[in-house]
Amino acid sequence: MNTLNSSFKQIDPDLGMIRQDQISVRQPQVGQGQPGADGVRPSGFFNMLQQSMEQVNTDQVAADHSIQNLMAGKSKNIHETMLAIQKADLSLKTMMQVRNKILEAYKEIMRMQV
Amino acid sequence: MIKVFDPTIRALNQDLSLREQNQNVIAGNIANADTPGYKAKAVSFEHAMREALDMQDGVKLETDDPEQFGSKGPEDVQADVYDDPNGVESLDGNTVDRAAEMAKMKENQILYNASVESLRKKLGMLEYGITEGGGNK
Amino acid sequence: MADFFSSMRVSATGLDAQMKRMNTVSSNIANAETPGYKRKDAEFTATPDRESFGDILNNKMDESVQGVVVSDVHEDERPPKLVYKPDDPRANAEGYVEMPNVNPVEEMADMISAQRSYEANVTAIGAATQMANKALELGR
Repeated sequence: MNTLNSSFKQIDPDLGMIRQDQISVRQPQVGQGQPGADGVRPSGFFNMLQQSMEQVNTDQVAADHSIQNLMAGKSKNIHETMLAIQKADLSLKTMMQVRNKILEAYKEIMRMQV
Repeated sequence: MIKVFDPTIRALNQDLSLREQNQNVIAGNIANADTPGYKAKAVSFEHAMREALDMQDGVKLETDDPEQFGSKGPEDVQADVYDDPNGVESLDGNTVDRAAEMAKMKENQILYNASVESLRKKLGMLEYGITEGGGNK
Repeated sequence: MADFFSSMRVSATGLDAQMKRMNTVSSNIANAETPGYKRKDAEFTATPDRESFGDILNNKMDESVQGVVVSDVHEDERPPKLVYKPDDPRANAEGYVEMPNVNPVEEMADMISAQRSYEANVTAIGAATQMANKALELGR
């Protein structure tokens, strides 16, 4: 899951930091001799976020293509383009909300006095 | 400055200018619908826009023409204004088809509005991303 | 420079020209029975759109966008209708009065055409105005 970590770090430094913490917290649990010290199970939150991000990318590209088709005269279907844009917009907002909630939760946890 | 934006935004920006020009030409035709000898003008740019966008995607990179690799993007697309060859001459030599011009004008208007909307939403999404969802929407 | 104001100016010249044409037609119809009246014709000419005197000085010609202007209102040169009315004080030596060569049907057709053209120009201004306003939304 190192690729997941590095891809998050690239896109969003805050998330990368959280992910890093999560890995360092979990590693002591992996006993010695066990194969794969990188035994971090992907958390449900991060999976959801990863999927969200992929969806955003897909939708943005689809919206762009739809707009370009309209401009190039390849399509006269305006409502189709508008819907594609709306979809991309919603995907983006969803992803952003998920990301913000994760950040919030992380900060909340860090504030806890152990 | 405009080169900072993604190709779609640049294309939309140019599209608005092109459609504006289209409106001007159509208005000229309508104003001269009764002028003897006046030849109706036509405007074309959708094909050029399509080519520019395809180039942007890297679809049309097989070309031997070195000039094609210049900085020409969708923002450089120009409109072609010419005498409409399909114009039918009436007795006084005028080739304006008033009904056709009205239809062209409506279509142009609708597509202009669509481009403004698209541009607005795209810019909105950029702003949303930058402000991390804390924008003034 | 392409902008909507050019379109509006051009449409405005269209409105003006059609109005003048209307006036000419009305004049013809009103004077259809007036002896000695000669039928009038408004002559349309295409003219390039110029924004200011400065443009004219700089010979700035945007060939592609042209408005219209009534360059001349000339009288119909065709020979008048001669009606035999020897008692009319305006009759000539042979007793014929010169009546205008006005064909009411022709004039009506002209008037309807002028009206349609006028409306088309109004629609054009409406379209240009709406689009210009729409563009303002980009700033919101």
